[in-house]
Amino acid sequence: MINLKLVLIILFAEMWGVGGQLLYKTGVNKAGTPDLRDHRSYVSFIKRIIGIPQIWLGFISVVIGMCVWLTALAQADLSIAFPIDSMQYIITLVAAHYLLGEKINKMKLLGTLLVMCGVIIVAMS
Amino acid sequence: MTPMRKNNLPVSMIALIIIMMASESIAQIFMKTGLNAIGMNNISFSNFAEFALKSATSLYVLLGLLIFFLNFFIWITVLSRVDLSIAFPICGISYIFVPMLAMIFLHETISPMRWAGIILIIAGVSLVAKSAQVETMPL
Repeated sequence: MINLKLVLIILFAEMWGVGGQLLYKTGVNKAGTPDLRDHRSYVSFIKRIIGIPQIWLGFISVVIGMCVWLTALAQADLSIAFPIDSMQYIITLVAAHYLLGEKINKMKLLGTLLVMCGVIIVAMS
Repeated sequence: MTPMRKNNLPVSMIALIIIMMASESIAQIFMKTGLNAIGMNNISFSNFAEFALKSATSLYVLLGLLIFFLNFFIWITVLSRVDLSIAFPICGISYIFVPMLAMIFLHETISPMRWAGIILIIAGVSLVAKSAQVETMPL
């Protein structure tokens, strides 16, 4: 019997985690791309990053996600916690496509699914 | 004029993700060592201040937090060049490092099941990395 409350808590944690990543990406997209061979370019990139609200909101969201995940882990049956948690890979892929306009192709989808299955097996074995 | 072909996943970015996930695994081990040394297993509101104080003075915990902090900047740098839908699944390699580190340093054996998972992750990450180039290929 799957504990529905636990499933919901883990999905809730994931929502914050994935939301945080989407906010990071949205924020970073505003800051441009630093030239990694030029430290001045990197410093000005970091300065722009610090001034972008989405980065801070993303950080808060990721931290909330981690706290909720730890709460779930403390009471969870790990055999259901990890499979549900690794759904974040597919959720991120779909969200990045619809909300950030990133492209999905068959190869990316298959690769993401393989990573997801691999993570479940490693985490549970 | 032919449009410039953008490489969606430069080797430098793959290297950054590998450094980030490897150091993150080390940070996890530091944190666990530090928290075990503190030895408080019932943390509640009443003793949270004591827990926070002990954590803040534990070298291992602070080292772990420092690595997490530095990794934030690596991740932001990666995201400035790479799509989230490519960079995120590649982070799945973190699940390879802990068993590998345990095998190398603690001489623990890796079960066949776990090897299967590791191989799936490597195959998946390779496909996702490859898909970054497919996107820029002219149709």
